[in-house]
Amino acid sequence: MLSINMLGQVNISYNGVSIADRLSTKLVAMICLLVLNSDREMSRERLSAYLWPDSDEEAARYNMRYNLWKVKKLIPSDAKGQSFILVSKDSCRINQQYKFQCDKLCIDSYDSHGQKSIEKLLQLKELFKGDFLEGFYLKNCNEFNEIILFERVVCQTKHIEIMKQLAQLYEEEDRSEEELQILHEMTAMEPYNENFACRILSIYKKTGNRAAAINYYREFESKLRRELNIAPNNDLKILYREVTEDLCGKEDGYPGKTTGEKKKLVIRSRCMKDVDYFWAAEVVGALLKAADQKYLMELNLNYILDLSYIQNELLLSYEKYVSKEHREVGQVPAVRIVNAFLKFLSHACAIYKLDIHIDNPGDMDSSSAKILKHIEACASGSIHIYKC
Amino acid sequence: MKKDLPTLIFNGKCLSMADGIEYDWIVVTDEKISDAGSGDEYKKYLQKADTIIDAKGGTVLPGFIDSHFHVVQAALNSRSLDLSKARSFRDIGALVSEAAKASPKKNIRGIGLDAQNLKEARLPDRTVIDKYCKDAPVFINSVEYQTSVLNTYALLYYKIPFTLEGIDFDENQVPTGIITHYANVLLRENVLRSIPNSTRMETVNEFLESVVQKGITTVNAMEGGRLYCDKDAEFIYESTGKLAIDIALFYSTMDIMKIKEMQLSRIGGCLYVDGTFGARTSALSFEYNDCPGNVGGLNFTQKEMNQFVRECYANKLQLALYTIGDRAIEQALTAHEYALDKTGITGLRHRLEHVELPTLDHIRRAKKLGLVFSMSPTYEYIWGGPGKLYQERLGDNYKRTNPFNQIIREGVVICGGSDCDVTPADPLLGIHSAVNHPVEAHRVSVYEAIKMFTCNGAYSIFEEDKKGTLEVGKLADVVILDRDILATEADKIKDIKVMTTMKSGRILYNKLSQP
Repeated sequence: MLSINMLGQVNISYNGVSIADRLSTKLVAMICLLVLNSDREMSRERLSAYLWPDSDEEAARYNMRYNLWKVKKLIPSDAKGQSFILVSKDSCRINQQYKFQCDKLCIDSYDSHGQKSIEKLLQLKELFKGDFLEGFYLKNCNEFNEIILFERVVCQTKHIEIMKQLAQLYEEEDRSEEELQILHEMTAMEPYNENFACRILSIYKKTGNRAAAINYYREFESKLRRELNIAPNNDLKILYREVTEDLCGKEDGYPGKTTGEKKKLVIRSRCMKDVDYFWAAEVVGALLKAADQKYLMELNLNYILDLSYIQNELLLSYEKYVSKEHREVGQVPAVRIVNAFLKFLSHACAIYKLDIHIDNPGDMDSSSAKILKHIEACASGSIHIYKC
Repeated sequence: MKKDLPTLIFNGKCLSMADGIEYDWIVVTDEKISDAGSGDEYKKYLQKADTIIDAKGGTVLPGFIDSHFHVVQAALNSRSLDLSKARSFRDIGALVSEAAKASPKKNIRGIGLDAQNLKEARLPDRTVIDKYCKDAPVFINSVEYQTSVLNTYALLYYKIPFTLEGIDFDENQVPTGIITHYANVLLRENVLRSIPNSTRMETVNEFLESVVQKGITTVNAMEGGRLYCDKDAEFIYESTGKLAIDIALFYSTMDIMKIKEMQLSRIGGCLYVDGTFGARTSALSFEYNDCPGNVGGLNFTQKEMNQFVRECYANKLQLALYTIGDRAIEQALTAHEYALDKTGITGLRHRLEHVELPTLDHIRRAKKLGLVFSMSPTYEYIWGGPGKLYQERLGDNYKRTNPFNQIIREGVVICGGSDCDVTPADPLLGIHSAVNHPVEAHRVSVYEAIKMFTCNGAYSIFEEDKKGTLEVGKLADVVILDRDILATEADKIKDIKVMTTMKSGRILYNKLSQP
């Protein structure tokens, strides 16, 4: 049977014997074009424009005739006497009755929304031996080269989609080792993808392979730093901390944002009518006592400094966990205090559920009351306000 | 290479750079300085010297140490197509065509392309480059390596990660050949990794010939890391002792384990705490003059920086952090203060690279911490003063950049570098630039400027016991100038020529006749 492989080094074989070395580059390109358009006819004129754009009409027609003859000669008819290519005066096309195998057509038939099985996805994955028409370039055939570029994008995108679905199915079937293998392959394709990294770390954590988790995280962190000069995102950091804190035998590690339920914190606060931001400062102070201060100190320093204008405990914590050296806090405009307070709460809510109890809400200062109104309006599922 | 007979250099103004001592002559035996003195005493060597060099009254100095140098990339760039002067697509096309004609079917790597300089005010796409070269891959880097532009051939030739962020597509979803962000990082890494080390060796050797002609006998090689390639650092590491001059490797990585495994004593170099003034990414405490609302940015949180610096202290690694804007300097200093407080470890001579906008407070804190400032005076020659880049970006704050005099007065050691190939590998131009700083208050004496490129350079890599000064017992790294630098008018220093460069007793370059 005829077999056409367009991914990686192009190979065309018949009954297992390669005939690629007997085909010119243009002829291979012509076959590829016809296969890519296998569901329709292609006019000879169009094919010529792709492959011999600089030739005059007669030369192009001759080239076309010659190459079609060559195909007929090199690719025999099938058992039923069907030719691979159907040729008419003005057009030609792949004969849909002719049985042949083509990696690209298999991949094109993949429907990301359809039903999938691990077996089918693995078969598809195996087809990706390299880029579409690897090593191919036809000088002056701009349109054809654009097709190669376009198809490379399509194939790479499908490749990653297939891998994602495969990883998903492995996860559903709790086949962690295979899932891990696929995720590592995906990471090789998209080395800075933090979602993939998160999943890998989660699997290591789940399977108790802490050493691998730590090594993997450090390597990933170092790669991000070296090549992009960025730090891993918060999800990944939290997950890593969970892994390392487990390792230290701590029982009160960070409740996971990405896995499991968030830990609930009950915050009790009081109000003082004539003191600006008193309630907000109370909440910050109570949170510092109840939550993991080390985590809270991961908030951007600028917000910590702004917020410390109303709650000095923040600076003391910062000094304890981060640095004894910090900038002086001068007068901070109201808008920055409010913004910093909201950022602080939002940072805490990334890993905690907060039940904030207000003992004497009637005495709330006006600035805090406005902030509270804003929080209530935003209705975050992670914050519940109880006015006693 | 051992030889029994000495080399005599006489009739020179030999600035030993140690305690202000000057000699008239020095004698080199094998790889070291074996004698030095004044007056006619040199005559005793006339008979037994194998080589006699008449310095003809020129200054004789310790071999120059360039403390910030991108060896491999500068070497590779020296063989690349310089597009920095292109002002239009047509200019780019002419240069690409010429290169394609000179080396048919060979890969063309263009560098230094700046869209801001182009009449079209944008980067060309693949269809533009295709007009000038269709039968070889053309890979063009923008001026700060943040963007690559490829012709169609190159897009098909190189392995392009099309699913990554940073691929620009046209309306038909076909890549335009303009590649940025993650895709650009990975593409550069792939391309640079694909260069064989034999090519690196050949290119670096060729390039070092021009470096030697500028009197440089030691460079601090800032290799690897973001926008460069770790393979460069590994190449330099493996080439120790095989190159014409001494190379002190600064591996720009945060992988402390790797550094320990390689048994290196230092880490960093281009660990970017912030960005550049050119791209308006250096972290400032004020807004960019030509981009209101933008104060640049830090690449680390204070906590991240603190942790890393602390680990470097704990592992007793000398650390070199890239800091340009005042906020970056502040962050680095804070982290050093934190690490010192936590570990109590001193004496590692940590360095801040570039340090272009320090405040007096920064300088004083750096002094307390024992930090060394590794600075590039030639920046002032190129970007300093009215009407140039510093003023464009920083407004009146351009008067605060590179305050050499203030730093030296406060007792902080400055070692000088070129940041080659950002500026030319030319210590005499560096010395000229420090002496002729556009802001008078920041100028330094010629002697202080020479120190930056000699003894201070040696100090900054813990090599002051063997180089950096002309003293008996030190390595014979020597440079002879064509005139007396101390008697040269300040504005003519850049015109001084290097006549002879000697590395460990071997003459690598000589334009002086022997009597």
